Amino acid sequence: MDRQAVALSVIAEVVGRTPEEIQAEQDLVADLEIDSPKALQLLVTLEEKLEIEISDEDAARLEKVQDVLDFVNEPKPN
Amino acid sequence: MPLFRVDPNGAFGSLLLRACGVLARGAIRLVGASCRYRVVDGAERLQKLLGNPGPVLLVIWHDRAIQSACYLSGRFIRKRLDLALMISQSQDGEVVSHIVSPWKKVRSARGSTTRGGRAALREMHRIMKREQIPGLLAPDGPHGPRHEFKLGAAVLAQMANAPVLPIAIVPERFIQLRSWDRLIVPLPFTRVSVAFGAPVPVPRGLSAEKLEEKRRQLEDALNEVTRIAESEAELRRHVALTIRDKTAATALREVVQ
Repeated sequence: MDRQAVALSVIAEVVGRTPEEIQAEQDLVADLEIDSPKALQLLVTLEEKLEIEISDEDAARLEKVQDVLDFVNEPKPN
Repeated sequence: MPLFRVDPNGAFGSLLLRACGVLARGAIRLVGASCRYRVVDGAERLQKLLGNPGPVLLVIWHDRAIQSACYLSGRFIRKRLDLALMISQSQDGEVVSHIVSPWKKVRSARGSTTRGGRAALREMHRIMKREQIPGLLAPDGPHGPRHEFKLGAAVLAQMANAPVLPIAIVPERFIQLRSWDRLIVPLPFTRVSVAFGAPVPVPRGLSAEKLEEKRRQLEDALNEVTRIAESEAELRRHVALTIRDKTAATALREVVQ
């Protein structure tokens, strides 16, 4: 499974949907209702599964699903 | 609502909040040292968890924050044990951060002013997970509803792989403020009942429904341990009053005779 597919499955798991129901243009907060607890689940699971580190500054820039997919494709070194 | 409101970024406000922090720290040390503590339930639980590898999340209700600071400052600060503390970005949180600032072993997670609770939750997770130290927070804070265990605290424990240890610290004599949490301020030299509940694990991979069930379980556990400590404090208060009444009755009889 490539990194984007892993990220998509993590987002789907956190919001309780299937990966097919997740669209790249969806907003993480407005469309997928990711609040503070879900954000923590999402970021920590992404860090663990993809062995990356997501800083607070990077996390603040992740607004849409596409932002997450782009970020995991070009992660900063751990 | 705080007793007063100032601009924490202004020179006067910053100085006032710092002064409040210093005064509160002194009061906490004095009152904390004068209280007599009695662990009424689960005495071995905290020690056992602190001895285990990995972090643990200690939870108290927000209305017990001052009494908990009195007890835990003696327990953690004097013994130089590490503790991660989640502090809100409110004005009250500003005072708390000044209270704990000289205690080098206490790490506070406040997040940033622009990113709020989400960043604070991540910072708390980072400290607990990376440094493997216990965390402490009030799951109904910073603004309530009173005694409602928020989901964020359950998720923090889940993602940090930390069992949750409910703690209740109940003074016999106190004053209660009219704040949202009806904050309890212990009186000096009071006796205090302390109870530790059974640790509650929060496993990974729970569905939203199961996580909500777990949140309710944690809320019930914290309410139950509070009930145990309050019952004990009430019993001891009743016994003290009965002894005082009997002493008064005996003295009255002696006067009459």
